[in-house]
Amino acid sequence: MKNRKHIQEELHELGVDLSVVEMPDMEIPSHFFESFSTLMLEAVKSNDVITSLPIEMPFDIPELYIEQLSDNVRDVIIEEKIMEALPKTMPYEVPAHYFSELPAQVNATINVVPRSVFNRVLISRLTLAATVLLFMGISLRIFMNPVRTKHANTSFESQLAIVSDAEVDQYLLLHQAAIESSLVLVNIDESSIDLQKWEVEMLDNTFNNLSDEELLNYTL
Amino acid sequence: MLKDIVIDLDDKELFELFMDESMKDKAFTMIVKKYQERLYWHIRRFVVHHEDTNDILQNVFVRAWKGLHNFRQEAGLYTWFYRVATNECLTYIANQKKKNALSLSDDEHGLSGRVKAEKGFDFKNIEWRLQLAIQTLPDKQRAVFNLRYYDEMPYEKMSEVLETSVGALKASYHHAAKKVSEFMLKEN
Repeated sequence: MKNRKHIQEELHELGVDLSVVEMPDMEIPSHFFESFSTLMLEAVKSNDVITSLPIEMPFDIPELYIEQLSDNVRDVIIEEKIMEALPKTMPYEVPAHYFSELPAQVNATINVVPRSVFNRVLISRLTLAATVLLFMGISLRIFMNPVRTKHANTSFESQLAIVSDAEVDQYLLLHQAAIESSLVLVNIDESSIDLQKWEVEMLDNTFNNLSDEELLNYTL
Repeated sequence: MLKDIVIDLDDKELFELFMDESMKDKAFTMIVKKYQERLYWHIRRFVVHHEDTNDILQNVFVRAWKGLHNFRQEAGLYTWFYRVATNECLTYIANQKKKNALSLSDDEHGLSGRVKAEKGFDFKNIEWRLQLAIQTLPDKQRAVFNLRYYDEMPYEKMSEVLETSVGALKASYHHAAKKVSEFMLKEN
């Protein structure tokens, strides 16, 4: 306080009177000074821990890395300079109007692709269907042939039944030449045929195969 | 006219138009016009010849026509097209290797040979030398280099296109750039 008085006197001598100026009401956290020393001690101790840590790094660095670093950096700079000096323009030529015509070309390709795929599918399916039909046809022909033949004969017989004898004779007369040629009779010389011998042989061959009973039935 | 509309429509709008059956053809033409040049050059850098590029490019768009219905929008059309185009290129190159029973990185018979056979090839020209340098890279590395260097594609997008981690792509690009630089220095 004595010092303060001296300061006030000194200020007074300097023509400055600060005796009325009070300290403003500044708040301090409660128990600040009570715990301050403890906080300070902890801070000092932690600082001690930090300062006692080793400065050396545990990491390995490649051999001669530091020595070669400047050279490597210089290489990178040269490399970058080379890269910067390189052109980005392409030397290749493109056919005239290529880009203006490309969309139409692509559209044409797209329209062709589905059709060709469609055609391939259609052809393969038609081939499969034809094969199945052919197989079924062959199978039917094999298994149904006797019946079909019978039906065909029946049909022929029924049609023949309604034709009169006169019409049959007329048909045979008209088609005699064709029938004879199909039977290969036209090329045979009639004079060369021994009719008498042929008749005897035919009768012998016919009757030899018949039993007595059959012969009796035949004559009756 | 159509070009202006294409510029105005973003991928999402184009996709929605494509899904509308009445607008499908027009939307598809817009999509083709929007992506044809970018994809053309992406493919051509891979396979070099125009004819092969044209075949692959048309395949990509045919696949788009057939498969865009199943497209998941979160991926983005841009990414989808680049992924399909890149895969088509890698498949084409693999098939060519099998067919020829020769490595396509081989100078005389492979992609370098194709570059040299191109019309107007001039070794003194830096553009042509760069193409030769790129053809010496392994297939996947070449894809990374082209996408990053020419298309300036962000690594995140590249990661979606090539289905590889960003870290691996960065490393791959670094290796590729190094090889290209070495080639350019050596051949200078």
